[in-house]
Amino acid sequence: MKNDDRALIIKVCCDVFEQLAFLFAEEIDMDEAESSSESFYQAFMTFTGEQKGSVDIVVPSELTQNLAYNILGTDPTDGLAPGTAEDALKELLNTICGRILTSLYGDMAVFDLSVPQTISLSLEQFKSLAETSDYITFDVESNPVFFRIVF
Amino acid sequence: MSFNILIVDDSKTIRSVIKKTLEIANIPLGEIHEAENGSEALKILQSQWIDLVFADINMPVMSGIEMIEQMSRDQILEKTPVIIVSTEGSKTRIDDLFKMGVKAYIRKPITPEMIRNVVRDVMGDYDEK
Repeated sequence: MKNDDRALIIKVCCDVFEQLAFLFAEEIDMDEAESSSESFYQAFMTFTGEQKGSVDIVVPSELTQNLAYNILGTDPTDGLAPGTAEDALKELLNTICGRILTSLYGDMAVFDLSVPQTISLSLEQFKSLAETSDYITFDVESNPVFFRIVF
Repeated sequence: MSFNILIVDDSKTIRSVIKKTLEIANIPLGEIHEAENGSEALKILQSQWIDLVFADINMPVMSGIEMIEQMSRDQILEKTPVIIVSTEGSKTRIDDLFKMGVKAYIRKPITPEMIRNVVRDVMGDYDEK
């Protein structure tokens, strides 16, 4: 991945975390990624068109709940309906994907985006992903987040 | 004057966000209906009076584009204004949507100001609630 593209992807991710979910994100080194969480969610989706590929994001489950509260503007004491946290994560990924593709390929390029899906991951699976070198790692409000785009 | 709104998005989170943003933007709201996809939306459109539709593009079962195509074939539904709310950024696709009859397009994440401006553009001046 070209350095300029990588920098652009990082900026888009940080901007979307801030604008959609009011969360501050910054890039960190993979070996700085530590989490006390026992469970994680991975959201993924594909795109076709001028280029084809996929994007995925891995976050601690607690962060997905914060995402949902912030996006919805609700208080944590109100609780979340089942599936809301995963839904919020899918929407985050959807927004990031759309923004990245426009930023990389311009606003005339046409892409078809799949409907995002989520799966649950264990701590062991999260640690296994941490050994994958193609993720960009973020610290989002003291939570490790992995993001990857594959062409 | 209040508007009956239909919000079409497979994400319950986004439907809630649009609904809340409409309220914050002081849009005069009548009934708000929600649908998870274009097919559900068409059923609502055929049974309820809807003044304005907010719709996503990418949805399972029936996409926003397919829904708009179906609406354009109905003499009554073709007159119902549709605003697309999407992550879509392609000017080519947005231009195609306008050619299909979409009245406006706003890109996520949305703000009350975006909603206020687009409703005024599409529905004309109204009294804020």
